[in-house]
Parts: sequence; C-alpha cells; structure tokens
Amino acid sequence: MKTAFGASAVRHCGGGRGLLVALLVVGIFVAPSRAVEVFIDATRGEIKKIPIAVYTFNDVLQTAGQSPTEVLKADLRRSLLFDVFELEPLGIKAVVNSKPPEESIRRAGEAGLAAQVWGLIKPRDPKAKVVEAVMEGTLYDGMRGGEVGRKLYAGPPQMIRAMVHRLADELVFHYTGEPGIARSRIAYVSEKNGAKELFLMDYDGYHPVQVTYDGSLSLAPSWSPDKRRLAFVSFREGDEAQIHELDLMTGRRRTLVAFPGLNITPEWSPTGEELAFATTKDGNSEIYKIDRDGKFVRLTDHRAADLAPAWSPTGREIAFTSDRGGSPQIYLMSADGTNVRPLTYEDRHGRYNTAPAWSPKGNWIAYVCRDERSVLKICLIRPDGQQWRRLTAGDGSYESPSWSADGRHVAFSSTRDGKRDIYIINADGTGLERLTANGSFNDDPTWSVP
Amino acid sequence: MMDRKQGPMYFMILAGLVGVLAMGGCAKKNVMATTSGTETAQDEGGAGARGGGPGALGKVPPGSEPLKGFAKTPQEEPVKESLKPAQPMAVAKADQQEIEARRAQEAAKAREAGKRELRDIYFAFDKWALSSEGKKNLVESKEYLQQNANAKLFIEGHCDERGSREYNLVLGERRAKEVRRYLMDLGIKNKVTINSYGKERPVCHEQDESCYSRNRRAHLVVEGGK
Repeated sequence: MKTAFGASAVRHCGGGRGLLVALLVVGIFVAPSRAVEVFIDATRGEIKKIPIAVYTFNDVLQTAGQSPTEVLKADLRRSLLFDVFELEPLGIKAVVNSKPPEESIRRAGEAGLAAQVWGLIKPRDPKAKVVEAVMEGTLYDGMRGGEVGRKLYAGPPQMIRAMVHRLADELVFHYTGEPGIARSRIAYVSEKNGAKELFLMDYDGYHPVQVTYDGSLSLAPSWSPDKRRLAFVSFREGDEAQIHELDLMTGRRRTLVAFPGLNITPEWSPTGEELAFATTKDGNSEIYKIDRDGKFVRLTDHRAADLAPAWSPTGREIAFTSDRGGSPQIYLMSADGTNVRPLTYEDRHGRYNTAPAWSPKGNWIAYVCRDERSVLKICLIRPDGQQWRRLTAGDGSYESPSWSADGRHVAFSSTRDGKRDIYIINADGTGLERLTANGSFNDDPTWSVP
Repeated sequence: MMDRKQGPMYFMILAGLVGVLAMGGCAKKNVMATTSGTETAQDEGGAGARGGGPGALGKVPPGSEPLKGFAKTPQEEPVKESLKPAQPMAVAKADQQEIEARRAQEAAKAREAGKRELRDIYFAFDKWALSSEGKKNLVESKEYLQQNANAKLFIEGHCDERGSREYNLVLGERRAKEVRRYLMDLGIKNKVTINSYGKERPVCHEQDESCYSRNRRAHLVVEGGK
C-alpha cells in the first residue's frame, strides 16, 4: 500500500511519520475517481512525475553552447522525477526580463504547475578583468504564489553548467529528499595515441578530462564512494596488470595491488573501507579484498576462475563471475566469502554471464550476457533470481554496465552506432542517450555518486 | 497531449504532499553521505601489495558538498573545478613526445636484445585448450628454444572481442599458461614470462570470424636468442 512518494517518505523519515504520510497519500487518493488510476499506477511501481516549468534563464554572460535553461530541463527530465512542461503552449511567456511576473506564476499554477524555476546569470563585477559568474536560481510556488526559496552560486564562467547541475539536484532534493544525480561524473577508458587512458566526464557527456597519461593500458576504473579517488587496472609496469589508485584532488597515484600475475576488476566497498578485486597470483583467478591497513583477505577458493566482484549496497554481499560450473556465470557470496551460491544458470540464462553491477537500490544486478549469436548484451536480474530480462536491444555489442547512484539508469559501452561509445539508459529500457562521439574507442563507464 | 485541466490537478496534490514532506523536517537532513577522516600517508610509487591499502575517506571534492536546500536569503556557494589539473596538464604537454620516445627506445632495445617472434598459436572460441595445429607449431618452436636455452621467452595471451573485457583477461592468461605448460612438457629450459592483454590489443577490428580467429592467439617473443 504505497505510492512512489509514499515509499520515498518511508525511506527518508522515521517509521512513524512515514506511515502517517503513506496513509495520508492513500487516504486522499481513494476518494476522487481519478485517484483510482494513480493507485493502480502506484502498484505497478511507476512514479508519478512532478510537473515543473522552467522560465528561460536571463543569461547576461551568454554562456556558450547549450543554454543553461536547456541544461536544467535536460537534468530534470533525466532525473525521471519531473515532467517538464513548456510555458508557451499555456499562453505564458517563458522569456522574462527581471523575474517571472506574479500573474504568470499564478496562471501556470492554475494549470497544475506547482513548481516553477527561473535563473539569472551575471558577472559579479562587469568591469573585472577575470569574469566571475554569479547564478541565482529561484523556485516559485504556483499554488500559493511567491517564492519558495533561492540558490546562489558563484564561480568561473566555465562552471555554469556545474551550477545548473547543482540547482537541478537541489530541486530533486527539495521534492523527494534524494540527492539527485546531475552532479555525478562518469569515469571511462578512451583510446589515445594507441594507448588506453582514463577520462572523466559529466554524467551528460560534457566536459571530458583526461586523468592518466601512461601510454599503456589503464582499465576498469572504480570510484571511491567519496568521489575522490579512482582505483583501476594499470599495465604501466609492463608484465603484470596492477591495481593503482589515483587521488583526483591531489593528482597523486599509488600502487594498491601488485601481486605476480593479473590483478584486475577492483571495486570499492560502499563505505570505501575495503577494495575487492581478483588476482591470479594463486595460479587461477581468485577474489580478495584489501582493507585500509593493507591487509589482504582471500574470499574465494576454487580451481575455476573467480573475478569481477560487485558489492551489494549494504556491503554485506558480493556478486561475482565464476566459471566453476563450466561456463562463466554470476554467483553471490557473503562479503566474508561464505555462503557461495549461483544466481544465473546456463540452462536458464545462457552460457555466458559476466561483469555484475549491483544497483545502489539493491533491487537489480546488471551484467553482461550474450544473445543467440554470441554478441554481448546487458541483462538485469533480481538478486533473488526471481525476475530476469535483457536491458538493451539493437545491433552491436554491449558491455561494462554501471549504475547511477539513484538506481534509475545504467551506463554501458556499445558498438551500436559503429565505434564503441558510452551510452546511458533508464533501468526500464527507455531513454537511451549517447554520451561520447569523439571518434575514438570509449569503454568501461563507471558512474560516481553525486 | 495529456489532459491539462485534470491531469496536473492531482500532480498538484502530489507535489503539495511532497512539499509538506520536505518541510516536515525529516527529509531536510542531508542525505548525501558526508564523511570525514584523516588521509593515510601517500606512498607514491610504493607497492600496496607490500603495504598500504585503500585510503580512508578524505575531504569531499568541491562540487560534491551536501545539498543545502532552498532559502529565502541563500548563502553563496562557490562552484569550482574539483580536479586538480596541474599535474596531469603538465604531463599532457610532454604526452605524445614522451610516448613516442619511449616506444622508439623500447623498439631499439628489442633490436639490440635480438627479439624474435615465434609463430602465433591460435585458439577456438571461448577455449584455451591447444589445437593439434597449435601443438605442431609449438613443437617447431621448441627446436629454436632448445637451441637458445639462455634466451627469454615472453608469451602474451589474446582474445577476440566476443568475450567480456575482464573475463577475457583471465582467458588470455589461461591461453598463455597453456602454451607455457606445453613447452615445459616438451622440455624447454628457457625463462618464461607470461602476460594477458585480453581483447585490449587486437590485430584486427573487423566483426567476422576470420578476424576473431586471428585475435584468439598466443603471441610468442624470444629475447636474447641468435
């Protein structure tokens, strides 16, 4: 008995208040006739989106590229929590001079647009040599009229997109209590000068930044949960794949795992206290974890290959790939290595299932599967194995699934448009978006927290 | 188009409720994980396997501070680049030249050392067992290796693109190890180093079996032979 919002209320509040709100929501929706529809939708697990309108930002700095207004609208749509309505079809002017007139706010409110946003971007000091941008975002209440509140940001003009992303996340936070994903980044691997280097980009594909310059292979980045460090596989030392750590704030780098053999598939635990990985130092690939003191704990012990650990959001379980049954399949175990059991089976789920990624919401595990023609696709399975489906359709091979922090999107790489590029898709298979198109090889996307 | 008269009405109720929720105080707390702690000492260049694990969570990068919510008189929030660009950028300029110089150096060293490639060994799809042809070719290579017992042998395992990136690293290593095992069984005494590049270094990029089969290989290089 809960709507999407009821559920979110329960999640973010103490039990008593959550229950109260859930009852309130149900109570209101049972009475009028339309409420029935909402209720049915809710039981299907769909989220009723919040209608919102964005007045065209007054951008005195005339930001180059995509306008801040469009960046915000795209963020709000991508959150999957808002329905972005255009004002012009309602006969309301979207372009305003100093601020949206009260009359416009009231009329949009009457049309059901309780949330209305406007922004002003200007230089702090128009005469200053080095321009500093100041952005003010205002949220209006179409029901009661007037302002709900404002946000004020300042920084160099090239950070205006980041300010807009931050405003978008504030809106998500205001209406749902969730932190949003618009500030998140995606680490990925891109080919440069014949080498594979690590790059970062904003979650919408803008602002790519190269972070390794090894001229060798840098693969499989994993974000620390504080968004500060990347662990990754480095072939810089030549004859062995090591696991390195790069501090993105200081640029410092150090070696975390350098056993003889392959040291691959690093993934930080949800607390960032431990790093799980696979190493072939024992002859075949086994899963280990390393803690803050540099202590290693072996988690698997099997003559087959065990690799690609993926932590559950609670940190209590680990999904991984093992070919102990003959073909690579997804298995689960407790984080101490006990209680190993298969999640996918060759006869039911196909003969090649690898690279699990556990949703931060805990409800799905994305992984790489193969279709009938042995081409790689992305599949989703419930951690209890009860539901299973292919997430991606279309030509080309698909790889390296990684979840957004809100659990509503999956990033992956695909050759669907020719070269391998990075895409994101909603967890229900809609909303495919291509993020990279730089003519290079782009792979291994890994999504950070906001 | 949706029914704008009725549709947004219950949205209003919903949004209103959510608003009530947000104002209820409970959802106002910062839901972003804020972490503090001391940074462990950096041991740049040191090997973690010989000490030093993942660091404690440090300061949150700029731009990742917790959300503060809307306010009637908001505090100004600085929005800065979260990366420290100084170090990578400095390297960037040297980037291309450095890589090329290193490559040239490696190639020269290889020539000096008398590097020599033996015949590639090919494998079946998803498999690491040697084929009869592969074994035959290894018997031929054995002759050379035994005549140059002091030469070092490097075996690289490679895969086609139809396996997943990480699993292919393991598969490539298995292929390299299988070749090493077979040569050892044949009695070679050379020092052998193996490595796997999975599908990261293909010899061709076409999506057909003739290319796939060329990529499923073990590449053998001998150093210090005659």
